Amino acid sequence: MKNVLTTHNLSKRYGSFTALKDLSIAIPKGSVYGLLGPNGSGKTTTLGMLLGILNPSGGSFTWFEGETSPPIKQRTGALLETPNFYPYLSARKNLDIVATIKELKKPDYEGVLKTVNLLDRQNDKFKTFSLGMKQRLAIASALLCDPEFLVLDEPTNGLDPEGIAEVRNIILNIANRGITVLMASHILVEVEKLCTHVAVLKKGQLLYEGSPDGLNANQEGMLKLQAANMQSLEKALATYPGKSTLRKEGNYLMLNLNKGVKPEEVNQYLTNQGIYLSHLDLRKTTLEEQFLSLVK
Amino acid sequence: MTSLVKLEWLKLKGNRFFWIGLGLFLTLMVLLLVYFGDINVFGQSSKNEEGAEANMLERSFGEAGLYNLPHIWQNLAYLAGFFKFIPAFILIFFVANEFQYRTLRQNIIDGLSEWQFFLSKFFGLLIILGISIGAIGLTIVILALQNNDLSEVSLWASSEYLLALFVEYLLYMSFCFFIVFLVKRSAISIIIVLLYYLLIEQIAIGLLKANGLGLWEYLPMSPGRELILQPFTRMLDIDMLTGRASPVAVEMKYVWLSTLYSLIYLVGSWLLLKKRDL
Repeated sequence: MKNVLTTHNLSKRYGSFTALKDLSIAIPKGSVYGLLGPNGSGKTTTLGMLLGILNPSGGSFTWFEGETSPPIKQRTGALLETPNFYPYLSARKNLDIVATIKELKKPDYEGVLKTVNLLDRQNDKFKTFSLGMKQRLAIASALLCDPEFLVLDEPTNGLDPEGIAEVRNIILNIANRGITVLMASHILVEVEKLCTHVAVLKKGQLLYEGSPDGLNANQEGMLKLQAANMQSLEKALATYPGKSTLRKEGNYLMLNLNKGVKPEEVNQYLTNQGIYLSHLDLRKTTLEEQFLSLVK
Repeated sequence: MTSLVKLEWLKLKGNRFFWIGLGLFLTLMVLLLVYFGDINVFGQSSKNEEGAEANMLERSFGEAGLYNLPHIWQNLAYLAGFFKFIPAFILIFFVANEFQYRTLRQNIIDGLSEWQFFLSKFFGLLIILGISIGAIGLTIVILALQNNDLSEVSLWASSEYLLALFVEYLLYMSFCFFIVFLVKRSAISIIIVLLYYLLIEQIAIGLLKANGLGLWEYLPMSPGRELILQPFTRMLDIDMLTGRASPVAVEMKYVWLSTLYSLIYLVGSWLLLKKRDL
């Protein structure tokens, strides 16, 4: 088996609004696959269809290249948006319910609760948990079937910095165990630290699929520029042939260059236009900057 | 299959509301069935002060034959029919919880199919229904044994009224099931069910009957109202005085009609679940 999941022209429409259009992606076994995009780009819609809570308007998807044994539910764990549990039941009894649904023979309750550091709270009711604990219980529940494939939607949403770091470490440990992970996020630091593959969505359209480094394929880097007369600098750069994107950031202009264009060429060009730079700084673009320029 | 029953049972048994609600329901009902016999028909003391001969109307329901076989089955099933709201509302809370806590979504994400989820909720309905009817049946049997000489009459004569009660509860609970799947909120469901059952349908039945239209039998909850007819005119000998005869058996037409309607509401609930995004 090469891919744990493939989608073919998967689409979702709500009336005349298209939430996802013809998405075709493949998630290789062993990868940590990041699904990126701003809010409303179709990430959760995609995961919702894959997990059976939304009915696709078109297209299809295949789990484990069509293998049905053992059942998909015993091979995957999923965490979608907010953690949903029975508030009147204890953490342990909520996991009992998950194990019953997944028809697990010998679920390792203690092991997963230990992984997320909730073992000493297992007999407390879910409603007494803080948001971070709820999220950790959701991860424990996703891990209960000892999955080959883990689907996580915004796993650090709403957590404080400590909680974010905890959850991120848990995911890193999971990925290191060779479990395939599909993770939707708009927090790019997360993706940058974890993912081996990314797909970028915007308004339901797939803009990019490949390695995180590949996002940068058509860009050489980013220049941070400043001159005495910013208006004429902006005007001159707007028509510069080697420009990929241009935007303002405080008192500076941020210029993304096309592949092969060197900073000295920009300097030369501006000098020819009679503009002399007071600040020129070459920076390697972060994933966030690449992402922003892509979905702009 | 058994794992779905187990799943529903895990959800129910951990909930305090389920036990309190069911406990309250059973206690109230058993108390009513046991003590209704002591209530005087016209609210006066059953013996006047001079110990004069008892007037036909001055007696308790027990003395009028509430617990006498074979009519005890109809008499007590009729009284128990008034309590169907409580188990039905417990059911509404349990289904609405799954929407409110978004655990329906989570169950599906965890790998339950929509059909399995539906079945597990239907088993929840059967669990609540089974406990209710079982407790009522047991109460009737005990009261019948205490108040009758079994050498004269069979304990099970007329026990079909318990089946009729089962069908009545099933119809009512299936209707509630459908409404809560439709609106997903417990309070709104309860308001809709009460308004419809106690007001709208009563008015509609009245209007249709007044205009001589037989259609009234086919309103959504109508068949359930015809399953167990009031036993009091016979019990209190009013039938004898007016020359009218109350039926002594359950009319099967309404059993079938109620069952059919229950099935329609259950299938309707399933279609709602299947067609909607969660």
